[in-house]
Amino acid sequence: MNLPAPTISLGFTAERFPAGVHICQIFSDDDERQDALLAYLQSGLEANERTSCFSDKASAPIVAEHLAQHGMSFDERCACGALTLAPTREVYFKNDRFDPERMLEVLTKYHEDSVIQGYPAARVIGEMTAEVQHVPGGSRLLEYESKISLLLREHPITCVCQYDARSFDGAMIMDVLKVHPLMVIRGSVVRNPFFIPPEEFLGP
Amino acid sequence: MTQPDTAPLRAPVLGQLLLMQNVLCNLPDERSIFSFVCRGLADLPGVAGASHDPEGEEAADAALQRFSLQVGASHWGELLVRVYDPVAFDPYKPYLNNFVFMVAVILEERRQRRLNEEHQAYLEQRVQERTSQMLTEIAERRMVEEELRRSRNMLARTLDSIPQAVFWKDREGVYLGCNHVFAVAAGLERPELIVGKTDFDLPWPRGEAEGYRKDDRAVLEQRCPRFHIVEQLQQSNGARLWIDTTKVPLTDDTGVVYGVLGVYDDITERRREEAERERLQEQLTQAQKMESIGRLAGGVAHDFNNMLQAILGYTGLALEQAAKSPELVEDLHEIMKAARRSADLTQQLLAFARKQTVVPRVLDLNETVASMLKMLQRLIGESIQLVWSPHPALWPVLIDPAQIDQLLANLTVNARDAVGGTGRIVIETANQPGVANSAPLPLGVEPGDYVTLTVRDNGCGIDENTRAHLFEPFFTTKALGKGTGLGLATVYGIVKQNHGHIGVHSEPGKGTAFTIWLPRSAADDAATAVAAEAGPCRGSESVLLVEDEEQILNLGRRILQEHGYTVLAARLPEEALRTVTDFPLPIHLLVTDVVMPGVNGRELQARVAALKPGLRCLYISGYTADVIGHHGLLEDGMQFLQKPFSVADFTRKVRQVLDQEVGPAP
Repeated sequence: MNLPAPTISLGFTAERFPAGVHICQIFSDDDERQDALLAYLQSGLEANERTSCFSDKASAPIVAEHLAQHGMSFDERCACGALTLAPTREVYFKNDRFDPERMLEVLTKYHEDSVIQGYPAARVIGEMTAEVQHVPGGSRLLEYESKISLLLREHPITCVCQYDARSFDGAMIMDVLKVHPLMVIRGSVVRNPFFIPPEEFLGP
Repeated sequence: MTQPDTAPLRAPVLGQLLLMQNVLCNLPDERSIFSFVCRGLADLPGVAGASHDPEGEEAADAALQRFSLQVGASHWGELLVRVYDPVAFDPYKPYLNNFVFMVAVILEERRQRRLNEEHQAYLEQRVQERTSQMLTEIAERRMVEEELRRSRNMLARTLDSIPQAVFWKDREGVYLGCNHVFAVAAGLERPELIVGKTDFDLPWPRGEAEGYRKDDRAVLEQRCPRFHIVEQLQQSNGARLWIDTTKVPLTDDTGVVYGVLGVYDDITERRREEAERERLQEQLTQAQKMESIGRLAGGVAHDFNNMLQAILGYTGLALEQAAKSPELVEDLHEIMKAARRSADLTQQLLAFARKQTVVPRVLDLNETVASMLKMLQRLIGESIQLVWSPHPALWPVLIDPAQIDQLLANLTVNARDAVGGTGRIVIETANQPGVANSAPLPLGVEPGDYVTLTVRDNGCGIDENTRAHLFEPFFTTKALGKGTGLGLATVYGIVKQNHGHIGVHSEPGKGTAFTIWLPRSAADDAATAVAAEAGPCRGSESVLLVEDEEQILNLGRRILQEHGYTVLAARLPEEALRTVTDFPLPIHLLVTDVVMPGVNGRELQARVAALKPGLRCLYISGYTADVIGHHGLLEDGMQFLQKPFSVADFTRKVRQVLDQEVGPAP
């Protein structure tokens, strides 16, 4: 008999999930975004997971203050590599282009290093900005997101993708939904009925 | 096998509808919502695509199913769903209807929220604008209030700086304000306490308040200012003022008269000064008139005396030769009496003109008056009581006692005539110390201590018109032949000659009081009356007689020759000097007129004395102005005989001068 896979806390919901889930958060409120982000980082670090944040909105002082309020040192966690903060552009648009393959390699290596370094799990939260629609390779965003779902089967990094509904057109938001199996609705994580499995979405 | 009419429902499809309903709440606008919804609806079973037709303009199409986006009166067009498989689609149609309705509800909520937000924003903006406006208004109002306060303070300070009293009232006479001067007059601590009061609440008497109200009404009714209303006002301290008020109507912006503004000036002092000035002017005019009359009288007396001298002299000579004819002697005596009465008249004229010769001495006025009482009582008769009221410690005065006789005789006779039948005459003396600081001094009276001599009667009194002419010569209220009109003129002249003042207080029916003010004398008795001594009237000395009136010259020569003297007579000074030069023998006496053509008597005396050392001199004149000093006093050693004189007077005086020891040259 197979034992159930270990579960993780996402921080912003009481429900626990297996590591390596791919979740989309469509938000239209800055507090909603920041609350989810800080709770997600906090829960990951509290579980000693390797935790990374790729967002222009996660400033070091805010994160440090939040962690300090929960008994954790921002500087220590950064110094040991358990916590990484990086702006969206620096990670996603390196060399002024969006390169899904490079990003997938980054995530792969991130997970492999985490395993090597003995982290029980690894998690990432990133906010895709509307700039993606204007940089070379940006049209491959949905392909990238769909491929992440494939990658996570091998490298179960827990991923939360934040999209600001105020920055993207509604049709784009619907398209983003289709490549995320889970999504956050009013603070709860639900299965996405619009989700199209990567094999179907990416096609043969 | 028949095709089923409807396909079975699939739960995920319903989940999609629910998920869209939840997600679209995050989308920012209708464009994004319809973009999202249409993309999602395209995944419904049997649906080829969906679009939004905001205006319902899309042409009818069998494949198009329309879902109206409407809630109540709000409408967002239609969602058009292109259905290629109705069998697969139809089971979801009710859910899609619900979904579209919910979309419409969400849009309506958003619209309402947006309207609310806009309204809220509008309200907030309005509140902000109104708050800003109110703050501005408050600031402006404060500025206006501050400006108003400063303006009021400045106006109050300005009004309080005005030396005149300023006040303003409404149409009903209720005070609206006043300045400090007026508040003080009204007995108020502060000007603002005047508000609400009327003149009848203020300290002035009711009659004056009614007068003020009457003035106010006149200004209000005529809508014209009234200037220089001179009236009286009683201040809160009881002082009564004379005020000069100007009142003007107060009008509002529309020209309606709503009150009266008044300004008054305290003219009490000005009126007093004007009255004093008028009094002094009147005195000056009177003094000038009296002086003019005096000069005229003096001049007349001079010529008249010369004529009387001839009458008296020749009558005297005639008398000496007419002893054998009693009838002739009696006639000549009558001529002599008439001439002497005429001489008395001219003497009175000279007294009035202050030109009579006097020998003043320091005397006790009480003693002088007391010595006259019997004579005065006889003068006024027994039916009139004479009351003598001397001051017990009267100061001395400097005056010729004979002039006191003249004063009292004239005043007492006048009092007697005023009393008529029975009555009372009071003579009293008093000291008047420090006159300078008390009542205003009469014109020409120096400040200092004075002695007053008052003659008061309870007779008929004198009216104002008569008082104005009392001291003029020949002015009389007595019947023709009863008075010369020179009595009070004489008194006036004597008083002025002695630097005094005479005042009269009288009212018809209430008696009269004449008060003579004489300066207190601080000196001892320095002047001594020259007593006339009887002595031998004949002589044998040489006498040089100089007189420009030939008739007098001949009369004098004849008198002197008949009394044994050697007479050298000359009409003119040059002739006299030639006579002296040619006459080898001593000349003992020069008898000379004072006023002559060319050289006057005094110069002639000096020149003759140079030729004839030891020469004595006797001046004769009918007009003493040239031989007496500034104050009517004879200079030391000067011998003088007033024309007209009798033969006896003349020979006695000549003898007296020749017999006296030679003193210092005059």
